[in-house]
Amino acid sequence: MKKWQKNWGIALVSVLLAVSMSGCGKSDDAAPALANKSEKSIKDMDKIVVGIGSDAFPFGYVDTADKKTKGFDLDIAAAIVKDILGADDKIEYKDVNGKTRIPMLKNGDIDIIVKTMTITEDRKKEVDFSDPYFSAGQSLLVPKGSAIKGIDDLKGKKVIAVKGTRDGKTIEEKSPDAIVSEYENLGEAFTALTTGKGDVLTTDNAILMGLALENPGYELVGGVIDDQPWGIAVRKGDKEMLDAVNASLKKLKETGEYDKIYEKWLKQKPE
Amino acid sequence: MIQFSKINKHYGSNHVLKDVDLNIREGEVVVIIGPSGSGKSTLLRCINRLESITSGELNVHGKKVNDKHTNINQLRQEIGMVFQHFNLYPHKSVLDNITLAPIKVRGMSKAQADELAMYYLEKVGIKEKAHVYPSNLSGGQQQRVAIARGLAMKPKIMLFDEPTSALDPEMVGEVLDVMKALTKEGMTMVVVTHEMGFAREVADRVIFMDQGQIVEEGAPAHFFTNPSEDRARLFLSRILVH
Amino acid sequence: MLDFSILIDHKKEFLAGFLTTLEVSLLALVLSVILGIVLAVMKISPLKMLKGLATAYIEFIQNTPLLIQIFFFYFGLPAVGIQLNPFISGTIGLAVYSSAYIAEAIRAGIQAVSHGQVEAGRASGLTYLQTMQHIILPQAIKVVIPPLGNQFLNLVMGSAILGSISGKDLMYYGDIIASDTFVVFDVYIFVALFYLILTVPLSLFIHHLERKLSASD
Repeated sequence: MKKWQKNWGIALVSVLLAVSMSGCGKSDDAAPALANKSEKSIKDMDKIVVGIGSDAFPFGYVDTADKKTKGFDLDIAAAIVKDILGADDKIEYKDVNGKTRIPMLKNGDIDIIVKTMTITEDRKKEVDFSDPYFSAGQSLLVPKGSAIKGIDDLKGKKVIAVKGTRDGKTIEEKSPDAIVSEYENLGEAFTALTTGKGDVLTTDNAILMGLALENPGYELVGGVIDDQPWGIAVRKGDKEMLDAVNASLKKLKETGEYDKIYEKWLKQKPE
Repeated sequence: MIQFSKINKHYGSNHVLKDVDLNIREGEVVVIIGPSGSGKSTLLRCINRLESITSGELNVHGKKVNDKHTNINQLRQEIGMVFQHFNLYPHKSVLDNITLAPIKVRGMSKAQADELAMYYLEKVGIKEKAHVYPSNLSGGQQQRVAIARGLAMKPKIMLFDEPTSALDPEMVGEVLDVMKALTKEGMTMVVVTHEMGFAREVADRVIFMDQGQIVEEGAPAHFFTNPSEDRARLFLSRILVH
Repeated sequence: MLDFSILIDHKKEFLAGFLTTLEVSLLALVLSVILGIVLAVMKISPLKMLKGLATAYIEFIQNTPLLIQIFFFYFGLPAVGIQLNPFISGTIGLAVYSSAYIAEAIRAGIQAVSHGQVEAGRASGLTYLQTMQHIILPQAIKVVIPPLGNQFLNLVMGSAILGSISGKDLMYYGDIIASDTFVVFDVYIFVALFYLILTVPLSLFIHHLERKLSASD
């Protein structure tokens, strides 16, 4: 009961914040309270506060063994902060969720968001996005050894999707001869795949990667069907931070650091 | 025809039949009387195994009634039964009440069975009611249909379990008349009843039961005028005062 | 005002869903009545083993959720190599679920028929099953029709559970059209109207039957 009330409290506060912030965001100038911060050079900052999540295995999740939050997003954030500030210990993580992350960024509680965040036009009105750091999008999960290698092999195949998403529709549009069956939730959809009710399960690749990690008999095939990459969000107009993040991201990819992190968490090579 | 030897029956801790020995010959009319709870209906119902026995041996028509290998359905075809509450099938017409068993058990055609049913309906005097439902008949008429139903299987034995007890007094006569007519045809009959007049008039033998035992038996002339047992005497004095 | 363009745009889906719901309901209804009669006769049988089996079945079915039973047939049976499609799993699941309630209704109906009727039948040489068929069940049906009718209506509405194992019934398409169009309220109103097309005639038929049977008294 307490928890329920607390969640509603958070929700209410976030809505209020979002409303007031979106008011500010519409003006051309950055909010005055934040102006000072952006005048100072990033290199001089004591630390960078990163908004991360803890509800999406293996991107940001709480390890049941040591109760610590870890994951792909956290390692990417750590590598970027280390590159910008030149030290391991100048990062602070703050747990955010889908509702709180933008308000918290706007009011200065956090400096960047690295949390499974899809780059969308709507969000671009509120924040600035870095170059994509994860090539997310709808993908296909099949039992290892399946003849299905991609979207072109779905003719006459039974495709499992989750209700309330557009995934099933997308398959029907791109592969009209596929037979799509939708299930109530991801658990039932995956059970349908494991019990042979369908040939392939389709949804976001991030979710499928999590499933593949926990169920080694399954693998992702065919890359992403519709590209919906994730970006790192910085405050709207904070060009210095944006440039710094992009430069670091580029460096990570060039040095192979990015690939290392990717393989560490996702047990496969980046596309 | 019917032989009880050392028959015992228990309902849980209730000992309802105690070492009953009884022989009923072919063509004999036996009337069983006794106070309620004396076990007389139970005794009757053992004959077609509506009640099972706990111990002893019961032979009907040369077959052991309680033997697993006895085909009870076959044995029952030879034993007609008339119940206190008629037990006609309310969802079937009088005619269909009578023809059901001949068709389903004897394998008769519908036409044959109908003819047979009409014959017996005429015999019990309600031919004109063949196509009505039991609920449209008086109690006496219903019981006569029930007798016709029993007879239509052409049984060797007819059992009557208090056939007039549920009837209004003015209807008792018509049922007893049908039964009396039947005795003249040589049918083996076992009748549980409180109708002392009937017993006196048509019984070959009267059995008096009390507390699960046969207390006294004999020809009606002897039994009704000079019973040797005190219990029988007491019972008769009460019944005849009524 | 309802947005009828949704109905027109998605008439293929609505119609396909309606037909599936109709088929599943009818099949499950027939199966559950047959199964229900067998169970009811077992339950009042003098044989202890049959009685025990029927009692265990009925208790188990009545005390577990329908969804779990359907999941068992759909997701559970593949573990022993039996692969059923959503339509068949749903039909069997519904029939099995309904049969327990139907059996109880029929049992109550049978036991409402006086024991003298059984005795009259058996005494005339009819077998137990013949007695049931010709004497007891025809009389029990009158007592059984009202609760049975309710059970039939429950079954039709319960068939909506098919959608949760991707059986393409009214509810399945309703969910999908609703999440596609975001016109949730209107879509489910249309779905409800389609259910009414099935349940109203069924319920009228049951009332008609009740009247007809009580008139024959």
